Amino acid sequence: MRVNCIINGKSRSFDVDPSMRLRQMLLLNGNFAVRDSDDCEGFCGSDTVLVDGTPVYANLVLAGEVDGCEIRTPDGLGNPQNLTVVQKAMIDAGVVQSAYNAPAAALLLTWLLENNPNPSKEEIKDALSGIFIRDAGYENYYLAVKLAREKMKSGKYKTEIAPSFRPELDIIGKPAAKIDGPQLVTGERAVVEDYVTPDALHMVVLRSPHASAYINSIDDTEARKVEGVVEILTAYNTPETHYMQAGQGNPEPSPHDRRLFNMKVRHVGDRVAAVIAETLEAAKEAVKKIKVDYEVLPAVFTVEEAMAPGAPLVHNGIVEYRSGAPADLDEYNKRAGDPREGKVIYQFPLHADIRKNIAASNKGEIGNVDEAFRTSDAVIEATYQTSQIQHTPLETHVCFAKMEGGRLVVYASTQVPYHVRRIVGWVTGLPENRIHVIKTRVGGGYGSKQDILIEDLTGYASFVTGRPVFCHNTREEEFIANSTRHPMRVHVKMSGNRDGKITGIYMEVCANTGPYGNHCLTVPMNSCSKTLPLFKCDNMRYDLKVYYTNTPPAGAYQGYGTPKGTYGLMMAMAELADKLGVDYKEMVLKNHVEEGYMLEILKGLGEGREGNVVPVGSCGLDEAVRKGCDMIEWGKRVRSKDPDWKIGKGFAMIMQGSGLPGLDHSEAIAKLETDGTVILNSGGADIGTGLDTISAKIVSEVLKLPMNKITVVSGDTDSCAFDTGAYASSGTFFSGNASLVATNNLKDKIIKEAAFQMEESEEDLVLRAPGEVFSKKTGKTLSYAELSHTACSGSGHGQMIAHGTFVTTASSVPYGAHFAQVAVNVRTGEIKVQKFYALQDAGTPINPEIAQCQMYGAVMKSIGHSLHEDMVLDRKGRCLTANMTDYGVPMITEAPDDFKAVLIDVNDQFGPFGAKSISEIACNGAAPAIGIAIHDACGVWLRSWPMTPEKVLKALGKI
Amino acid sequence: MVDNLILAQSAKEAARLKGSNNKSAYLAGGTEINRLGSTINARTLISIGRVKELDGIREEDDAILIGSMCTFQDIIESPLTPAYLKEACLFMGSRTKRNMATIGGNIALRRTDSYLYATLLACAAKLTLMGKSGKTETRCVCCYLHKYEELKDLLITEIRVPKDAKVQTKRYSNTVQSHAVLTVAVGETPWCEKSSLRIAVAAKNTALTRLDDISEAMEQKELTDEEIIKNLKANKELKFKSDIYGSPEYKRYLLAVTINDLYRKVRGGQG
Repeated sequence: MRVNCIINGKSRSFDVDPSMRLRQMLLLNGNFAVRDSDDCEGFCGSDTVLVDGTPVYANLVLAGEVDGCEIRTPDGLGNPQNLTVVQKAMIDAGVVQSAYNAPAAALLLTWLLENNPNPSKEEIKDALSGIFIRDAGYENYYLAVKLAREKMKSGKYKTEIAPSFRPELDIIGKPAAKIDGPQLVTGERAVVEDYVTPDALHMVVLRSPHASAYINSIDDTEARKVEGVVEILTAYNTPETHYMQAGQGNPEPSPHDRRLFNMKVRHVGDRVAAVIAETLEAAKEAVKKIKVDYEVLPAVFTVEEAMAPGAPLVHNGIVEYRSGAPADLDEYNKRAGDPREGKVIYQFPLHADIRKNIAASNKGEIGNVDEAFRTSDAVIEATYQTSQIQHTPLETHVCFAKMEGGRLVVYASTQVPYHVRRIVGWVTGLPENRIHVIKTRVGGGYGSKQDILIEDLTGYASFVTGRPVFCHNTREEEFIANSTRHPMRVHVKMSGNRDGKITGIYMEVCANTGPYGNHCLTVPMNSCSKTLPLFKCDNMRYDLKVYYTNTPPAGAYQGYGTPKGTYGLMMAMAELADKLGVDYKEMVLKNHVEEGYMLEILKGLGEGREGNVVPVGSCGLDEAVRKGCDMIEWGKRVRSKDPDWKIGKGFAMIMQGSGLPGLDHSEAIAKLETDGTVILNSGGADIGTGLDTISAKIVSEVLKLPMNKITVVSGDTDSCAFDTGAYASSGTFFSGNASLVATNNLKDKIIKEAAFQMEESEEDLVLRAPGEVFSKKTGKTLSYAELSHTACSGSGHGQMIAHGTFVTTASSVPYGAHFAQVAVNVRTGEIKVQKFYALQDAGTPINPEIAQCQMYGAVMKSIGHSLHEDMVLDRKGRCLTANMTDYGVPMITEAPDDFKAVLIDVNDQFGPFGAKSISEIACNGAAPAIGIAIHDACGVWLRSWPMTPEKVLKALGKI
Repeated sequence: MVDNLILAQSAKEAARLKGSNNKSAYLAGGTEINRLGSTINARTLISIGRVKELDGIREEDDAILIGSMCTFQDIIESPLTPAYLKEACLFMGSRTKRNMATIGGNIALRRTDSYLYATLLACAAKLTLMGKSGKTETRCVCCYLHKYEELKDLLITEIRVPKDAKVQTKRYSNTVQSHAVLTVAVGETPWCEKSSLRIAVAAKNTALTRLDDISEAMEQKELTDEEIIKNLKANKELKFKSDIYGSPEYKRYLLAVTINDLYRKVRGGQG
């Protein structure tokens, strides 16, 4: 049928199929900023457009219905060179982060202000109620509207965007627009899907309906007859290479326990086959025609089931070690089962035993915990259970790969481009010089894109077909076939005395890694290594075991294992304080570490290696606790007018790391171009967090060069030097420090060359704005443009290029405390987070407004994990909540009424300009703060996630 | 797979087309029929989005008449809409979706997590239905539910709700955007024949129903939570099962205490 309409002011005409959706029609028109995050679920709002002036979801409108209508799309607002006031305000407010939904949000706010120039907070909330924001939270959207209104009214902002730090510095520690903000907010080409060529093949994966089964046979005869099918990949025609998908340092502390396709499927959603076809429709049709004969096996879904004697084994094949093989390995392998089990290959021992479903284990102790328990005034013992939750990035996992000039080019939405290159190299057999990974902008990662979950197969498919191949996970696949947060059972025993001193802590962590061992050692290790060092306690013991099960896979998730460990330990401390009759705040203040305290507990808590015992460095923990207690009026009881609603307060101290000292590695290359501008090639992977802006600010600060004369190219394995990637909170600390080293080295070269050209001595020269060398002795100046032009003019010394590498054993630990005030209805069990204050010491916040938004975003995620989100499996291992509506992510409606992110001013000795990490730590506090507040409100301890109304009622004895 | 989209120009045309094609479905706001996982399977969609006569909200005697193609947002914004119905429309958390979803579509879907049914049942709303001949008839919303198989091809053209009903509604869901485990309404409506008190529930995966036994009992005397739970256990339509929304005990308890709370509000004059 014929559709005539106006799109962004221009008349357009289309012939459309009756079933075509409006979004598809808009894509044909080039409006690719109208995106899809939920496969037409009508939830995320990435597909928001205006039809005749009203916001609607384009995926829920048939194209045929808009005949005669006027349509506005996000890309019709402004462009990167000419931003609208709203778009600019969003960037300035710091909400444009991974930004997959930023264009749609800009459209909604534009619509709001056009129709209501003075909206209230409730009206802003209403306008944004249909859009899901996972990265920056919602809080600074109110600020963005305020800024836009001020700009519209008076031509300038009146409101302070964010606090500023380090007055002695020009740009570090001050709000400044994120450098990729214009590209992202306008919906310019930015993410993987925007780079797919029209000739690309489409890949669709056939996934297992069984939680555990051997594959007896696969018959793809009928599937291959489907027109357009180019190739079908299965375990029968793909390499037997065993590898793992975790993007970690090499050699990885994760077992190589999978192939591209296995002969045994280990979870509902496991790969069985992949169809590569000319069209998506053909690939989908062919997938339906593949016949698989399964031998269904019993399965295990919880650590309790996995550890039971005689439990079905998730892996029962041959075990190999790259190093450190035990003496009885041959004997051990005699017990291997069916050859279809495959292998498990350890890079080094992880204290595993696959014949007991144990993927990894570790334990350690300082002092004498048992003696402490015997001699203390009180001991509490409790078990805390966390659930399986999903990252839900708005941009699902996506990859586009193509062969070009004998090389494999991979467009990846990844946190770890160099690990992608290595692992794609393993499965294809290509050396690294023949693989080019291009990290595009990343529409949300949160740890899930630290794993190579789609690039391995897409890269291989392109390699074997010689054709461009595009693969894009559905939202359901994100739940059933991607990594998730490890469910954990954290058992804590803690003792203390009546004076509030904690005397002994024992932590037993049992983690569920699912069918494969991605991060199986390191995530649970973090449950201990990023929690126990909060305590000034001489007697501490930990014992962790990680079990294979047949649930959807687990892996890295923002905060890693720390949110679970923090939940257990802080809840236990509150329970102990309650038992001892000690005020919880006083107990926290009495027992938290401070600068200089030697962290003996770290000795056994390395990432598969011996850990470094170091003293506590810069530490804003005490200030965060005290200030937060003042803000929330700790100790002052708040009462509701409705007697059914009880109000309580809670808080938790938190910590994380800034990368992995001794393991992480970052590099950068700074080049002075011939016109005096700078291009910095950073190995770091900006996943929306503002890492490229940090690098640009560092260059600007050191070279005294305006930001618009600096370009950062990052995450491109051809043009940039190696970096371990954006995980473990390493971005600012490691990649930022590499940028600083490279820039300082470039500065040295500039001074040296300038001294030569100016015939001055180096000691007399300084750099000054706006990018020139100044002689303190003679008053002469030389612009970078002249300097560089001369150096490259045929008779000079050549282009000034500097390389920077950063590795360290120093540890810069961010600290903080998160506070919650909740209301609990003791009649219905309902829980409402009324206030949430996040106070964090991030060292010098290089981008303070972006840092605050990362705190808001991480806290919102954690509120979701604590109260709402849950992957519920049935007895066959099928996820019953594999869509956004049933899974339960928090939207703006679930945000606390009073929400503050406060940056504690601490200058770190090792971070670039004193900076530490910011984002991951912000995932750690919500669960215990809310759990403790619930107890304060109504007297019950909720010891499992999510803390639901039904659990409240059960704990209160109402049901 | 949809292979035909017809943009109906009038209610009569839409009703006629539907009546003559058993593989067709009305397309109202599209938030369900075009949604992932929709259970509606039709080859022909009859779009009623351009039928002007299905729009608009007006007042007539003791009733407010709402065109079936009025969106949730239209209803919220109209000064004529009774507060109790605005409240029910606001249960749909997404403004963008409220701009699309229609009251007629929501009624025709009969979802057990319906935003509106409990309220409409409690206020004794009436529906105007048009058959393929263009003839209209009026049915109460409860009758529409019970005789759906007989009435399903008819086009809902108008919804009639009492101006002076007192209705209190409460919706429980994990997040505002999640499906509701329960939406409960207690109302006093002038349109009831026997008893003025109406209690209704939309119980996810269970039923959309009026709880006449309880409302009749509560007309006589206030019941305790336990008495309501006992009554609910005996209710043949409300066979709660354990699912992602909770255990049967939880749902039954929550329904009972909510009925009591809403009852007190209605009788206390807050409706």
